[in-house]
Amino acid sequence: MLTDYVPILILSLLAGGFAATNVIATLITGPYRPTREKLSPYESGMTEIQPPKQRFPVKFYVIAMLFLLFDIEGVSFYPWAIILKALRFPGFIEMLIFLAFLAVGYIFIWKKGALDW
Amino acid sequence: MNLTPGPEHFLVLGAILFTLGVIGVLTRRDPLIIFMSIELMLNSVNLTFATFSQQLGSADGQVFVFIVMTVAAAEVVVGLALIVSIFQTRQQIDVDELDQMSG
Amino acid sequence: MIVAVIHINVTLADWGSVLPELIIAGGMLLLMLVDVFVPGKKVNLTTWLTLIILALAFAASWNLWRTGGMASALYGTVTSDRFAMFFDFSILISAALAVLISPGYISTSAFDSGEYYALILGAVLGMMLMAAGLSLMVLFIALELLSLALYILSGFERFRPRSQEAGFKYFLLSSFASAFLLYGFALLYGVTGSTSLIKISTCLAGHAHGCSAAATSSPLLYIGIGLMLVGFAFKVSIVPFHMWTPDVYEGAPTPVTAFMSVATKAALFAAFIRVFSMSLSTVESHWYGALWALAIATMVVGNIAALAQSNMKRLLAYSGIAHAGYILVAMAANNALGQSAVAFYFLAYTFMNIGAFVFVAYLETTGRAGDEIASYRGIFYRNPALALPMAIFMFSLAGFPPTAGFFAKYVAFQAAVQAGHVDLVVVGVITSLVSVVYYLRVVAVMFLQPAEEAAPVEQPVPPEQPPAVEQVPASAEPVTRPQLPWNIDVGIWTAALGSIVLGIIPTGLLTYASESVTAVRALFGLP
Repeated sequence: MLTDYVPILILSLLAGGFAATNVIATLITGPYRPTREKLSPYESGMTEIQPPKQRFPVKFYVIAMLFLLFDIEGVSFYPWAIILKALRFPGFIEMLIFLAFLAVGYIFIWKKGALDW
Repeated sequence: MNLTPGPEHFLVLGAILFTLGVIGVLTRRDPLIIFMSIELMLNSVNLTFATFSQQLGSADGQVFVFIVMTVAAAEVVVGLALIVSIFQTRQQIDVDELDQMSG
Repeated sequence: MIVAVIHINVTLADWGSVLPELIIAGGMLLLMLVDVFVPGKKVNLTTWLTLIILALAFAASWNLWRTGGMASALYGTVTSDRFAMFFDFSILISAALAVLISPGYISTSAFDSGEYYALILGAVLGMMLMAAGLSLMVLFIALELLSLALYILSGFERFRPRSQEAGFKYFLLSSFASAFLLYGFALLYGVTGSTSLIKISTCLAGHAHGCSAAATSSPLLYIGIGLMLVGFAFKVSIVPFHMWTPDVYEGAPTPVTAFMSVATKAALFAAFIRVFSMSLSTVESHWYGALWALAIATMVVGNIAALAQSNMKRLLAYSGIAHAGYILVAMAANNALGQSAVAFYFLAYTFMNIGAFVFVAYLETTGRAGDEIASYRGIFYRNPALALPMAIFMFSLAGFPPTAGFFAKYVAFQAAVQAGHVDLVVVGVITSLVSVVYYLRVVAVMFLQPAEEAAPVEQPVPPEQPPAVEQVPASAEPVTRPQLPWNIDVGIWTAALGSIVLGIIPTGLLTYASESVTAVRALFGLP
């Protein structure tokens, strides 16, 4: 059993060794000239103009939250789809009712303007 | 040495994850981290349900997992909405600062 | 391998047995649509619509009560037995009273009324399902439904920091508790192999369907019971899991506090009884000790902490904790009388507790500091129509005869004596005596001390009997009432009448309560 994992172990050692070799090699061979920009944390290559603790648009969160909510409801369709044949017509109606609930929620957030970008 | 995990391993893993979640809620101060710890607790319960479902050969546990997933998503949305609404009126969020009322 | 065996036999009667819930769900959708499609201010429209929906649901529940309902419907996941209906009555009445005092808040705090009422109905739906759930899954969904709605409602005054704080605190602590409860459910499922409460009880009773005989002594069962106890204790604010209660009650908008202080507890206790006293009845020895300790701690801490409060909403929060303790005493009795006592207690508690919140809400919506007890000085001389019912509520909460509170407590303690738990009753009676101090302090502030500014000569003679609803606006209140001036009167006098009537003629309702308990005990095969 345990011998099955030996290739993985070898691969991990190789990968780790490669990374370590590179880091150590640059430390030894490269010149070290620190400047203020180099020491500051990497911020997508942009100069940091404002302190990061500031307000940022809420819109993005709202859309993300709403997406999450409607997305996860899809999980209910999987078990329903599998046994739909056995559920026959009443099962179909029940799912329509479920969708009606979601639709009312969707109309609500739409009319409330939560989706305006 | 037998490394095939059995149901008890998953149950123990679930218990460990649940405990980590509890510790996270009790010790951390950032609401988002507390929030993630609660999600960790819910998901460890999901693992437990799935394990029992497999062990007992009953589908109830798996249905429960679906329900918990859906409910957890709704909880995330409500929680984030509350955090955002607090953020709109206060700059910083730290649970220790929510102390207008003496608890 | 899991092989699905499906028997489709959902009849119209199944749907009929969840008719009250369906009405509430439909009403919730309707209110959301009204909110976005009807332009302008629509406080009156939405308030009336909500009241009508609640009344319809009440009528449907009453009809189910009359016909006895179905013992188990929709694949044995929900019931419409009389026990569930009895709790539905408490939930619906408290929701209606809370809705009645809401318009003032909606106009002063610029609430979005459609959203607000839709959330209230969402919480009501969760609570009714909680009281009717026969499956761990339904209980969990119902619990989350009511909790999620209440988190938002507690933080509904988005720009008032205290309300935000209340919403967020409630959210964090309550979802923490939900996770505990859920883990307990998972372990219970693992031990008994079923999520149905009835199957769990037959499994633990030892005569069932391939359930191992070792289940009752499994350590997982002990852990599961412990976790579920923690979860339930958090949700119904039992000491030592009560820390969130005063903060949330103080911070949340008053109508929401009024609603959640009664209806949430009613729903949770109904489920608590169904899970512990019914489903886990055969393993009573596993949980009785813990319940005993919780009951004593709750009564002692709740009452002593209430003594130190100067804020009415915090006082009512601690009083609510103390009352949860008395209810636990009835539950710990674990006999039919104890369970009827819990059902009756909630009906009484609905009237007396929400009544007190109506008083606070009225003062707040007329622009006064309604929750500082010190500001009640001499209020009797300025507004007797408000002070008299408030006195009734305080006497009832303290448990003086002939009020509803007295009989509720009396039956609860009688049940415990019947079960032989005299120790609990002794602690209960002593702590009740302590509670008299802080309830009567409120009454004393209202009655005995002279008013600060307003000369008491204006209204020297208190009315001999409660004035009729129509006369009240004409009485000594010079401040113009914000909106729907009748709503506070209807609310406060309904509550006062309920507190008195249940105290004078409690026997009829007690019979109903015990009928409801007989129905649920029969379902679980208990005598």
